[in-house]
Amino acid sequence: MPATQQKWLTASADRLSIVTLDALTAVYDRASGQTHLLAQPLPEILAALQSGPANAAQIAARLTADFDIADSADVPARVSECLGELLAMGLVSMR
Amino acid sequence: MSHMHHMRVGPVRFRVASHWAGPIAELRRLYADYPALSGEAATATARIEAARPWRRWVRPAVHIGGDYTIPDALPLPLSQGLLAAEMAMNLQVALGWRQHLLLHASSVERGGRAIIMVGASGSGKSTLAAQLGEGLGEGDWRLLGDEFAMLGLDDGQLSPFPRLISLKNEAIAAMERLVPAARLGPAITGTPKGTIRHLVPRADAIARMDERATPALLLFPTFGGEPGLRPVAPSEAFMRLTDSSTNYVALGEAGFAALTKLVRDVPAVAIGYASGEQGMAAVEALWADLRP
Amino acid sequence: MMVSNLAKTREMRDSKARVPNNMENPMMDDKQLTPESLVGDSLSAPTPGHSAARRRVLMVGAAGVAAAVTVRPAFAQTAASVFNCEIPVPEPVSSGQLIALDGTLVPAGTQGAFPGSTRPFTGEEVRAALQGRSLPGTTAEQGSAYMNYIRRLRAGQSGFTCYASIQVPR
Repeated sequence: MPATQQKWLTASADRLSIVTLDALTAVYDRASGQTHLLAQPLPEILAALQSGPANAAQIAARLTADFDIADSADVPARVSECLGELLAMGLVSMR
Repeated sequence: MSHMHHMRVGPVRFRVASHWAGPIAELRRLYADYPALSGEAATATARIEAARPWRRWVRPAVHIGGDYTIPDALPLPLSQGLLAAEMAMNLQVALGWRQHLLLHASSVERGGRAIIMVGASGSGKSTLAAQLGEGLGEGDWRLLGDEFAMLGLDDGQLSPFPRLISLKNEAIAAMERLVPAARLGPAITGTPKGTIRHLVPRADAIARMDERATPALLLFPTFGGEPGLRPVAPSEAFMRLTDSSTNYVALGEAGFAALTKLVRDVPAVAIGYASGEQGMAAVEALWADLRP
Repeated sequence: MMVSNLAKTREMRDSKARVPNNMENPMMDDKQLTPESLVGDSLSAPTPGHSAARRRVLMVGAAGVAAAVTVRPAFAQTAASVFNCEIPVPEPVSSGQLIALDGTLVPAGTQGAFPGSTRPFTGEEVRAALQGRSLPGTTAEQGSAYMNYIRRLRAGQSGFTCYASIQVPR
């Protein structure tokens, strides 16, 4: 499957404790015992994956539907990049 | 070990064992008004000991230990034995305590609500708390603790932990003028932090060591910093507090829940101040501005 | 000025800090509710057809900018702040070996490697070196080799606990 079609899924809801602090969101991963602080759009990507696995383009579409994107960057590309960060932290995995 | 003292400070029941009589005699004198352990087991055992039997007498070198120890720590000279005992007690709590979230902070209470003052050594948090606890501020403050703030994991309340206060260098002279000699430990010179003198908390702090308080303000003081104050966002407070906690990681999700609750519920402010008076005035002004 | 600073911390905590439905926020009382806070600001998606509510703004950020930090608190910070611990380079069991530039231990006689330090370094000295100062009594290259050795220390090796307990301030 081409990379752009790669489907992602988030860690199951009962694995993460998510608390919004201010512009940053704190996340506790029960599996690893680690705490992460996430800035936009990472928490929103995790939330977008709650409704089911998706590839980067689909996640970007969910975000664009739910939010006004303030900095009109290449959203799918930025989403791919952010998924890499989330993957490195173990908060998402590939289907 | 031949010399021993035990007492309770807040939630912690200490047993301190020593190869030398001197430090134990000093502990006994300074902690005289603290509750003794009446047959219950200690929850923290601290030890100050010689590495080899003859080192009790020949170039005595005091090693810090107990249930928990740091293997690479250098020993202290016997002249700093009281300091070693206090450090050994701190170590047991820092490494072993799981009943509260521990913050490296001093704290004071007024009307059931508390200020938690967070900062590295030298930030002035100990001196500021000591001065307020001595009644030098405008309000009626009670010292909750100097080295550790103990945050309840289920309810976020602070449990007092009023150990001896470590006064350092310039802060010593000011207190010497104010308190009776019976409340001061010996002047200990040549330590890594300069000269240290221990101060016994005021009688009210000891008598009320089981009265908890609700955190109402998080303060990040910097003595000698740029004068003024700035608000600290919850995420910044959160990061700084994880750095100040000795057991945040060990507590897992309970630590996460307690700390996120704290930074969401309680305002945080950083202040720079150039003198004790300025620091106390800033604290009083912030307190007056808090919602009741 | 004091009033506005505390009000600002309240703003910071209220504006994005939406409490999950099953929790009570003791700070939210009637006086604090503002029109802005009444408009939902939670992470959950707005219900379809809820067009009357203001849409939330999302900043996706610039390419290449990290958006996360993992919390890595220092080990036993309080205890370490009063300890003058030391780190031998290399640890005593390896005293016959030399230290290569990359910090690994190599046999005596290896070209370009350095003998170990004659005295251990204190935690304070290593902390200063982590912040850019040089280790006392070392040339730039030698100091760099020593620092690489120290960075490679593992649990169980002499000096590891001391190194782990050094906090480098943000």
